[in-house]
Amino acid sequence: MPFVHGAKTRLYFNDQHISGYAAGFTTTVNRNLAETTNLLAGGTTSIPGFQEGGMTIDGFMTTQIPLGTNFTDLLRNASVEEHGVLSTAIPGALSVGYPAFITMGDPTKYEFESKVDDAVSVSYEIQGEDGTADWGVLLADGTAITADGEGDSVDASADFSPTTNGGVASLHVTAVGGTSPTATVTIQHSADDSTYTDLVTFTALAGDTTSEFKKVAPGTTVNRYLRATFSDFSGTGASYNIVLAFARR
Amino acid sequence: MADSDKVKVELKKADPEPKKRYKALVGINYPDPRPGKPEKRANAGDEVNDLPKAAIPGLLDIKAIEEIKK
Repeated sequence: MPFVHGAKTRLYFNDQHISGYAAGFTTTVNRNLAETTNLLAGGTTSIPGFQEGGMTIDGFMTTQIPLGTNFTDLLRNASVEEHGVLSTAIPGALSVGYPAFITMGDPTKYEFESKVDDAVSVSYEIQGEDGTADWGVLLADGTAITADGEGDSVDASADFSPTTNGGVASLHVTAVGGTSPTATVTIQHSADDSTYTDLVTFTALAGDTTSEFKKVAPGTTVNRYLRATFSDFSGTGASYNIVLAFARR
Repeated sequence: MADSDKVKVELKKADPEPKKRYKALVGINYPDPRPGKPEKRANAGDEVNDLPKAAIPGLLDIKAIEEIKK
């Protein structure tokens, strides 16, 4: 498998593609260990405790034009949202099957730094829901989808699937075209790459850019193959730029 | 042999076992057995009897379908 360079990373934040304002990201998951060292242990002992995870996005401050695509505006607006923010980071390339890191969570910190010899930078931290950030795969690569159809299937291999603990999905719709467009995005799974069943169905798309985070309940089987499905296209010249990822848990 | 002496023999095929019917509990896309045809789609609640035989045990396992009992 080839190594990947950070310059190919792409970042999505709610309904925005922010790679033009961001310089990189860090995803962290920590498991706290509760110490149980006792007189008879003969050494340090511990038991697994709580887990925490999240994502830090590093980027650059810009002026206020155009409003709505300014990275720092996004951060400021997101920091007061009640229901958290959704970030998906795709290192390697925007290519179906590549790794994707999903963080749905609450903003905990942003930090600006200005120096005389440098661009003004910003760092933004998100604490992940459920105490984690999820490592999944990309199912739709941001290219414009204009008609019903299916994305390429992604094979998790027989060694690592099926899994039985559900998962999480992130959808970013960064551009919409056409008159009165509608469409439905679904993630499907399959045991044989032939017969596919719906796993996650997102809220029907309409005329606005949007993002959505969905959970598949713990205990749910997720079969070996995954793919994106686009359906119910209507309107004149309907077009959606869609980034879609799924992570097994 | 005169026509009146001919015995007409009809070979009758045994009735095929009726296909089991299933109710889709989630949306399912499955291949059309006819070459070159697009996938078929069953939405949740639809009744189908043409699912690929090999896929049925797995679909029952994940509760994507249930058999319709007569």
